[in-house]
Amino acid sequence: MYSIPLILSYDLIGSLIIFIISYFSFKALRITRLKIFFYMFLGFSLMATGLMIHGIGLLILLLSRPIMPLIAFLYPLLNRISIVSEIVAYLLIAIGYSLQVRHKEVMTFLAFLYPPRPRRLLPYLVTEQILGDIISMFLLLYIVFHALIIYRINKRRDSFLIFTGFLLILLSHLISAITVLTRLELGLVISKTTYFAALISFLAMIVEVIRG
Amino acid sequence: MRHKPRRSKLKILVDILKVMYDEGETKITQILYGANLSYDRLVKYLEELESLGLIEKKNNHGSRYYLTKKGRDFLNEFKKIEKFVKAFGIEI
Repeated sequence: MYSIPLILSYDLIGSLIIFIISYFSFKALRITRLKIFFYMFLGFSLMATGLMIHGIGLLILLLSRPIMPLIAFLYPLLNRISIVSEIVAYLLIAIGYSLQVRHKEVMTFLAFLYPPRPRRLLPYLVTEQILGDIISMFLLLYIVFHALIIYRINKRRDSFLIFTGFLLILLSHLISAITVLTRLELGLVISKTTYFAALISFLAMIVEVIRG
Repeated sequence: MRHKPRRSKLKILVDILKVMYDEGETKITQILYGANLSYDRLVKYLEELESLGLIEKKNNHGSRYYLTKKGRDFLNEFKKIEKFVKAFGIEI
């Protein structure tokens, strides 16, 4: 439980960072009217909202010294909201990226990305957390690959920061899944820290954009 | 042979605004060369920019165009968004 204040601050600060990206996506949509930014805006807004709800929920739990049944009800509910909002957000961002698929390499890679046989994974789907992490990882693999292709083509620093951001989020889900299996609390802290590092990478991209 | 991609309408409008930003009060011929457009198309775009309140026309000593505050703000905003958009691999 010692990690809750840390996770709480990651959630609240992280949601603010993602709201900034969502705001920029909205401005990009308004100016360019490109569909990709509609999906980016929705995706990042949902990601930020999920993170904020999780953070506020944890804050309430921390401050109100609730009775055990309330914790037992509220904590899984917060996790569920967080997992669902993340998956839908990644899906929207992946759709956004897929709208600009122009490169044959992407389609070739997608053939390799086809999910492994479900039967092999079934024994490990012990909790919804792992299921959520696995779905997120597949969506993030797609997003990371697109971000990498874009960076390889334009070699821009801001594109590299977006790629790094999504890669770190992917890593954080991998660590999270391993943590649930091994039941090590330290793993949760590492996963959340990795996720936060991803958001810092996004923030650095935004700072580059603002500085011009 | 690789063809230069066609400019979007938004990019053309921004190119016109950029010429005015760099030159200040600008003659139509300066905009023609700066934004690389035909006369007919340029007139059409200038009318559109004027109706949006991004530029204004002055009629003393021949027609000259200049950026309004709204136009200047739009251009500054566009430069930031252009960078953000490029980070996602999109050319406007």
